[in-house]
Amino acid sequence: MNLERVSDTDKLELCRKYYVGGFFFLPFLWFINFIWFFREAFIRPPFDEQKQMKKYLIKSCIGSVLWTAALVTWITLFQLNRAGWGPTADAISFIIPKGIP
Amino acid sequence: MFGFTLQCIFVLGQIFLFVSARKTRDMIYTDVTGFSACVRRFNATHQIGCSSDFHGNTGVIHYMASVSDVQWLLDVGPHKPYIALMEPQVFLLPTVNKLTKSGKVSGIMVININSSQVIDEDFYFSPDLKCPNDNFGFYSSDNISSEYAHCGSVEWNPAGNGMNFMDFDIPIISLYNETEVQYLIKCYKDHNEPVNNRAQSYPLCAAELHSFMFGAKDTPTCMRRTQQTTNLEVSVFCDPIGDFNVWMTLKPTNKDNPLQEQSLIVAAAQIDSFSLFYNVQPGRGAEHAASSYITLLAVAQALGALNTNIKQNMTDIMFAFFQGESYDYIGSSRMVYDMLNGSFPYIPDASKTQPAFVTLKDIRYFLELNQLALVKNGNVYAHIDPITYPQTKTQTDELLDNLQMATFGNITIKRPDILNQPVPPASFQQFLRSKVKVPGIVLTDHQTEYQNNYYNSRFDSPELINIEEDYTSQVSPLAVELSEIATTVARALYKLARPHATDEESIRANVSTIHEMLYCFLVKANCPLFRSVVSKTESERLSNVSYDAYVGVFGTDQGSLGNFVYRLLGYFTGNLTWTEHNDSDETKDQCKDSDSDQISHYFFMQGPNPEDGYGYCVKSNVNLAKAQSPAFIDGQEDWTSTQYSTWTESQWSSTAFSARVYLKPSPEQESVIFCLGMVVVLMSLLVSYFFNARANILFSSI
Repeated sequence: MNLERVSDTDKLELCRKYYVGGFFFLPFLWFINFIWFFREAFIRPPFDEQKQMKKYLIKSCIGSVLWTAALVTWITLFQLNRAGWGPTADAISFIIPKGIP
Repeated sequence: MFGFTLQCIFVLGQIFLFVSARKTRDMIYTDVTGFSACVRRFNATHQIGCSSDFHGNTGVIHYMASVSDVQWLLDVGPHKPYIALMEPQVFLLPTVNKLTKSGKVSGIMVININSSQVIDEDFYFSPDLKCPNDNFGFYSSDNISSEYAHCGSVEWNPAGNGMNFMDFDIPIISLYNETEVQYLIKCYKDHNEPVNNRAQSYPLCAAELHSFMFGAKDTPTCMRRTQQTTNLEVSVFCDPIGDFNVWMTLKPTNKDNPLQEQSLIVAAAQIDSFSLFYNVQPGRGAEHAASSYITLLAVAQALGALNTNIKQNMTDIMFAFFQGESYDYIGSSRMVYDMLNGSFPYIPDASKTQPAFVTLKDIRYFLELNQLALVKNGNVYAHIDPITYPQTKTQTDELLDNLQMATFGNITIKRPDILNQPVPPASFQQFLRSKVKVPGIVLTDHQTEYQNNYYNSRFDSPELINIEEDYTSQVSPLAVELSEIATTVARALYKLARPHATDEESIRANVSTIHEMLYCFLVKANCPLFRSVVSKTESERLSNVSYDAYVGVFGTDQGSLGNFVYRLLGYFTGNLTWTEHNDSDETKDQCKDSDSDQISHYFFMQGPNPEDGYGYCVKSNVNLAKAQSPAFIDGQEDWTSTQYSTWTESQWSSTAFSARVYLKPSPEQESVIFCLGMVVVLMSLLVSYFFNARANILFSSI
């Protein structure tokens, strides 16, 4: 979609949809939201809907940072401790690696 | 016109290339196929054996024929990782430990072309422990006096280095193809051999070994993961090992006539053994197991030939052949467990005719044969358990007296000089462990330590016991000796079963059958005796080498070696009826088991003089009993058990074992080629960007 051809109200609507969508365990949607509308919300000269867009984007940014931190923590923990957790780790794994404890 | 000729040339060129094509791969690698690998196994607490990395282990080949070669690698060798190509005399535990600890070795190839060249006075190699089956015997169990525990009074296997029970994380393979070994050594001499103690420079001859094992850690982990159903993919990580015990009673029994206490004589032997390497060049256990089960088969043949009237008036004799004994007494522990739980031989089933149930209290005498091929001066030793002897004195003495009175030929049966010596590792220990005081004797060729310096190794082969590789009808001296032992045992059992008989002299073991069995079980399965006990189609599929004595993974079918023990036992002791048989039409098979009868079992054999369409139907009471450790019984698994064997074998993919040799260039050359490739990629990106940017100029239509 080429943002140049979309009206400002539609842009705000899109931004809002992405923002709401991110709450359904879709942090990547927030990240894309932030990247895609960054130019519109922070660099372009002010327009009517820009204030609201800025709010959405900042919240999206915070959300995706939190999610990234949480995922990185969990992934590190799991990778380091999977062998040590024994049966519990096997119960929550989809694929158990072969040949290593 | 021009375009057409161009196309013609193009097509012809393709055809030419196709016809004379050599795969690039074949110009780089030479495959090594004649090898067997060391595999991974688990028990309740440990992982043993070897495995390569998922993508294989690579290394520069270094040939070791002596200790100085090993030292060179440890002190000088600059091109790590290496793959050691070792002569068997150098493949010993201290050397392997040094190599693995140095971190310079990523794999080992052991040369194994001609074992008879290796077997000599000074070379000992037994990968089993010094105290085999230590924690699962009678003397290391609870409440037993500790002086005998853990081989306290006699170390049975002094040649043991325990290599089979160690965990190596490098692949170890055994090469048996002479051409390939010569190729490897030549490759080493051409490219790798150090000159004046200095290493050659790249390119060097290198090898890549694959033997990736799926399982890890221990039995509870891999069994749990195998049985897990919540994953995306269903994987098998390991399988419990086991097979089937073969047993029979001389006269058929029926559960409607229960056995009286102390009314059964049991004669037992072990079928299996193992070696470090899997499948090809198996442990045949020539001295360790074959000598004893073949002797027991001969005893069964001699007693099986008795008249039915005589058999009816005798105490019943039960012959038992145990599988899986080398891995913590799998077969015998299961039989004892079943006997204690009233489910031997079968789980009680009211709808079927079943043999009489046997419990431990029904056993009057227990005689086990174990390691009989290295008898010196005709002395066969009778081992008696010192702890239960005071309570079983009468019967044990009776058993010993009858054995000593029945001696035949040059055989003498003696007790070991040292009184109060424990019983060696044998299935009998499991019967003792049951706390029922079973009177028993274990007969062996060794007084204290084993005579066999290659116990449970790839060297426990026919060469060790002087069996000829070529088929000859002239009986070997070993066959004569085993026949004398068999005659002794058969007459002793007969006198025990029929104390007032006077005709025991008529019982003789058949020397030529023993000679045949030694050849068939240890050298080549495709032999006249084996061909006669199977059907025509089966005889065409007989192996041209011997069958593996390793117990293998427990499944619904019996392994090949045990199957022939079963068939021979049936042939020797069963009723043969001449019958018509159509090999290809299974539905017309008259000669098969009925579902409701668990006493008699049937199989078809073509006989010594095969005739098309005809043969013998054998009806016998030879039975198979599961030799599956009680720790793996469905519904009551205990994978952490310290009472029963918990051995499992790792799974691997069907293409798991491969090895190849190639010439390895120096790391610098490899980096240069890689960087060159990256440069080409970047250049082409730049060029295509440039073309894209100037497209309107370059591709204008004028």
